Amino acid sequence: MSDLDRQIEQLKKCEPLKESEVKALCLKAMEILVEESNVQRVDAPVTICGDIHGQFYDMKELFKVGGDCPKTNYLFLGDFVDRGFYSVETFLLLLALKVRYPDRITLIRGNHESRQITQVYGFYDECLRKYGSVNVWRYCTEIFDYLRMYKLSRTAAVARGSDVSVLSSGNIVTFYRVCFILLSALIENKIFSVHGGLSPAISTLDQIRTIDRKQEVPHDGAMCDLLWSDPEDIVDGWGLSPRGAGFLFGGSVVTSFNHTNNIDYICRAHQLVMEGYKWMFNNQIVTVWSAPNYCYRCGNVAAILELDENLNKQFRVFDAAPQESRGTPAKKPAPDYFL
Amino acid sequence: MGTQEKSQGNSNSLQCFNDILWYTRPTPFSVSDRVKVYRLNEDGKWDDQGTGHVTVDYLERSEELALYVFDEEDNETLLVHRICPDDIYRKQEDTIISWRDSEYSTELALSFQENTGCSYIWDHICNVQRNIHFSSLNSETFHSMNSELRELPAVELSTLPIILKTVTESGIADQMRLTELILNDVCFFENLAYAHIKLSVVAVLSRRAKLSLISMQQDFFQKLMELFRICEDLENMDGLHMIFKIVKGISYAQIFEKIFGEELIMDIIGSLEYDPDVPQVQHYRNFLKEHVVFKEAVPIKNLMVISKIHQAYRVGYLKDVVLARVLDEATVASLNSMIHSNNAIVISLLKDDSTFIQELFARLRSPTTSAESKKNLVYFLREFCSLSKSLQMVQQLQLFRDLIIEGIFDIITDALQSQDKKLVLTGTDILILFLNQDPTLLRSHVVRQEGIPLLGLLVKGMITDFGEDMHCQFLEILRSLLDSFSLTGAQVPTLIFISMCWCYIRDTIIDIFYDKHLGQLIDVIILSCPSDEVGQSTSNLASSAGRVESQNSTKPEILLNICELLCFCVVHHPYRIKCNFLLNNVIDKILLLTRRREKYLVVAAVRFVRTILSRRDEHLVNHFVKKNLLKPVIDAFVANGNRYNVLNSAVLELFEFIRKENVKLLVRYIVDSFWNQLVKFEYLTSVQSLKVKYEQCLENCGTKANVNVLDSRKRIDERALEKEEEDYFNEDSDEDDTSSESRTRKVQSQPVSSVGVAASYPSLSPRSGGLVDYEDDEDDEDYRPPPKKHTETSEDDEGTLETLRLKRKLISREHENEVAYKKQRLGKSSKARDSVFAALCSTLSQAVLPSKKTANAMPLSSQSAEGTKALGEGNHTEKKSSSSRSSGKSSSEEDSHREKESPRNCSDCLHSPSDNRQLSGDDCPLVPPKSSPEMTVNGS
Repeated sequence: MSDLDRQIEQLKKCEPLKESEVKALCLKAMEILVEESNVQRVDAPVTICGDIHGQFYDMKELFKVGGDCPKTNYLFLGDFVDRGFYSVETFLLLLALKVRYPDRITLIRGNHESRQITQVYGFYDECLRKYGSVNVWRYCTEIFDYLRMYKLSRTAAVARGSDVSVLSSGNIVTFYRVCFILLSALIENKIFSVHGGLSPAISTLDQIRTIDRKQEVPHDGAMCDLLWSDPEDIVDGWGLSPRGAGFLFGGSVVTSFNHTNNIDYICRAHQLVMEGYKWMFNNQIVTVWSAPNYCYRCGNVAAILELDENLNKQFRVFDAAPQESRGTPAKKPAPDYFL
Repeated sequence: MGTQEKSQGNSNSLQCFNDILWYTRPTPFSVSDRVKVYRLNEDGKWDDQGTGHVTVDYLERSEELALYVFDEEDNETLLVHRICPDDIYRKQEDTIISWRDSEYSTELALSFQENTGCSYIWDHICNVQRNIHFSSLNSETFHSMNSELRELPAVELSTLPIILKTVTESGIADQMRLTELILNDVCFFENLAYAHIKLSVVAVLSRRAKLSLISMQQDFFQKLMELFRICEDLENMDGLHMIFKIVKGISYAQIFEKIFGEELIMDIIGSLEYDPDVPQVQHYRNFLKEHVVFKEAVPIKNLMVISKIHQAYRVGYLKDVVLARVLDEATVASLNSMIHSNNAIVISLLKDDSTFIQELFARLRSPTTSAESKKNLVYFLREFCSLSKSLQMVQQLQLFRDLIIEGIFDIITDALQSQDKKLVLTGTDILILFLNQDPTLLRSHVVRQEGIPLLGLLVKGMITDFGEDMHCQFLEILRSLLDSFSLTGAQVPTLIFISMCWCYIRDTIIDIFYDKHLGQLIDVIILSCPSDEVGQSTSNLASSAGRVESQNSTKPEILLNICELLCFCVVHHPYRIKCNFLLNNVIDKILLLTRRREKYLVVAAVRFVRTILSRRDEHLVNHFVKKNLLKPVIDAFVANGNRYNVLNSAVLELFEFIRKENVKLLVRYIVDSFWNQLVKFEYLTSVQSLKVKYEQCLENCGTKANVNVLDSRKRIDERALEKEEEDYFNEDSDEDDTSSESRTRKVQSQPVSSVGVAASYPSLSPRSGGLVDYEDDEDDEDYRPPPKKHTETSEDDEGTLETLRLKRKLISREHENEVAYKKQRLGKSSKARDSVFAALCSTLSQAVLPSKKTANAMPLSSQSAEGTKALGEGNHTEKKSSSSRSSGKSSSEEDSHREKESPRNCSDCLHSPSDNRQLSGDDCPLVPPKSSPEMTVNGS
């Protein structure tokens, strides 16, 4: 059994890796991710999962329902960390799976995959608690960060001598730093997957490809919107988001986006839905939520969306892991202390 | 559809679980009290009422306490809320406190930026409530409380179910009463202590301290624990399970103090081993007794301190392990605040115990202390500093100052030199704690220190292989030391004088770093990157020849860190680093990273180039073109082929940037020099757009050039530069214009041209002195001549150096003066340093002014480059002894000379090829004698 397989087994038991193993894993992940193409064109069949938020044992339930990783293709829509008790183990397991089976699992970036947010919502503190220093957090966020500069799609050959204005809005998505985890994915050219939602700066997929992100941590702009926005029934067009970032967008926005880009529907996560998934705007956008009993007390169920090779949908709803299947908590305090 | 509506309603009430992005605006004061105020409107949505700072204070003309939120913008009162004794407050997550407000008759919520702020206010609220309750109990109600809970039954096995029922079903009022009953008369004394205590951490601490001193009478828990021991002996699982539930159910903060005392806590933890929901019995006590070690680096004599230390650990263990999954947020918060206050007591008692601190440092310094116990002492120091976060800001700062006076940085300096990597990393952890508190603390030490320089150790640490261990701390420490954006740490200077001092300190550190350490980092890169097989490497300096064997030994993460630090420097010290690069010809050395096998290093190098070009500095752009610096990037891109990966994207992004920013010089340079290689990527839009841009440039060039030349010349006249300088710059620009002009023509007649490459070859103009290898250059005018020629030329140029130096002296006498100043400064004359610095600043600041960019940027930036170049020369003479780098230095000097001359060189190169001579000859007279050099970049 290779080191990596052993580590995956260990992580599956919710035992965090040693610092040195995290370092090696992150470096390996970087090597793999740097070679990945920017637009993740994902082939069906694939199983789409929403937010996990460090709820490790519930993610194990997810794998029970959806099948183990190399057997099932997975697309995770981000927010692996924060809020739950086991962000470290959750993210490391997903990363280890990515390194082990690069073609079988796709990780999209959520708004929690950021230095700033993880310092507020728990991942930072968890790393500090579990390792006694924030080095692991530094390495993991480095991976998030490598996630940033991205070109989403291979550009099509444009005939020489075409109109210059067409060229200047060419197909390149450029972000300031290299971004290894994707911003979005396109499944069989028919389903657009993103963590948050749409952006007023973007009406076509080509425009997503032409995002020019100059600032390092955007608090506004298309990139930020993709990670933060929410669909909202009562809004017509665009509205301000109570989150302080991103926008609320209404049905008409989704309709025109889907029409313009010739996609069937948008699949996103980012918002707690009590039933695990929720269609909106006449089945034009679906929210998938994969953290059951969110924050260990919201009482919601979770769901994943399975697509077969013909893109037929099946939602699989699941509950939080029962109490007794949760092992002893991983927060073992240091066995010696001065103070 | 019905379900949809339902979930809509639900998700509204769950709004508070949605994340909020906190903007990182610079906040002058502590951010921990920063809150957003939300109000639930009729539609069931949370309205944002604004952002402000929260405090607890007395209501006007009243003894009642209230929450105040003042708007952070205009200091208006956003919210006043009298803290109410009823159980209306809820704490959600670690950052939200919400309640139903009777005055506003709706739900209100405070969302905190930081959870420390939240728990602080939460503690306040709880304390206020407790006070209200106790004072009401203290009056008549105390003995005549109308409750069925007059007394608890005697603690016996048979009464356990009743007790359990009482415990689990009691409401808040009952809980208060229950607490009364459990604590019995103890609370009466407590009330006395309470009566006039104002809200402050100190008060809470003193209360706790008193409580623990009061011995228990008729103790409920004593009896319960006796019963527990009996049940355990008899293995009476039912009884044990019931006791488990009772103990678990009693989670009122007031009782914790009682049950977590030394005499009871082990039994309490023991009773929690019998969770009826978990099949197997846990072994917490065993762990605590057998496996946990209390280490004493220096014996602590104060018994209370020791008992607080143990208690904090055990409570932490209860919270994190024993009860991790069953605790509700309120209890977690009160346990946390208990640990927090314990830590605060421990640290402040130890801090004020001068004999303890003295003993600690005496042992650390004593030569007789064994290495092992010294190590332990350093570990202790880390915990000590780390726990000091529990103190109030001012106290913590004072503690850190005291520790500095005791010489903690010397201790860390020793630790950083240790062979033991864990010890080294512990040292860095302590440094980070100091930096987080206030970077000035460490900065002031780094500048004034003699002996072993801490900064050097940090740089060394960053480039040391720590094997499996992580060592990104070094990068972080260096970054905060070199950070030029942050003013200081926590405190914002009120006195201009102080802030000037801080700036001075910071600049001195940056100076030291650039003088002594930047070169080290570059050397690491040179050593670890394969030099080109054919010997084309520009790095192929004589001094580096012997190093080749050791290459590739450096870990990629170290190179990554170096590259990141360099990018950081480019952003933070744009002018200083610019001078350094231009002088030392460092960029091409960093670009050696493109030869590394690890693709993320190649990408890092591209990102570095991108960071430099983002400065939009024309001088640098010229430098790139002159030195053919994009060649390694393009080569890496081409070698990557059609693979669609991050490298591919990064380079395309670079092209996009150049095109969108309209950096014409680069557009021309890239297409002229590399089109042969790039043509097979023409199917990529970015590549093609670049070509289109290029063609546009050529078209526009011819028409606009003259206008601009005149225009810029006029502006230069207006600026009335010093005569010599003006001549100098104009001389350069003449030829630059010529070159661009001729290039234009040539390109039109011959689309794929070599002129760009030619321009990148520095050689000396015949007019500026004996040009030795002029003919060589001519021969080398193929499409992509090997970059090695740079070196050759520079070596051959040696002979002409003197001539050049003379010329330069004439040109910039003024700058020579600066050098003199600069030298003085380096000789520790701080006054002189300041004046030079001011002079430099004023020079540089002009160059930054965005509005004047086209007309002024170029002459000024050359000027400043010269100033610092002279500076570099000063260093050079000073440090000639440092053998490994002296050759690099001298070559850098040459580079700078060449730079001066190179615009001219470019044109000369252009003129020299026979097919070109005629054209350029025709062009020359057309160009007015006075024009500015930036024309090449912004001319059209």
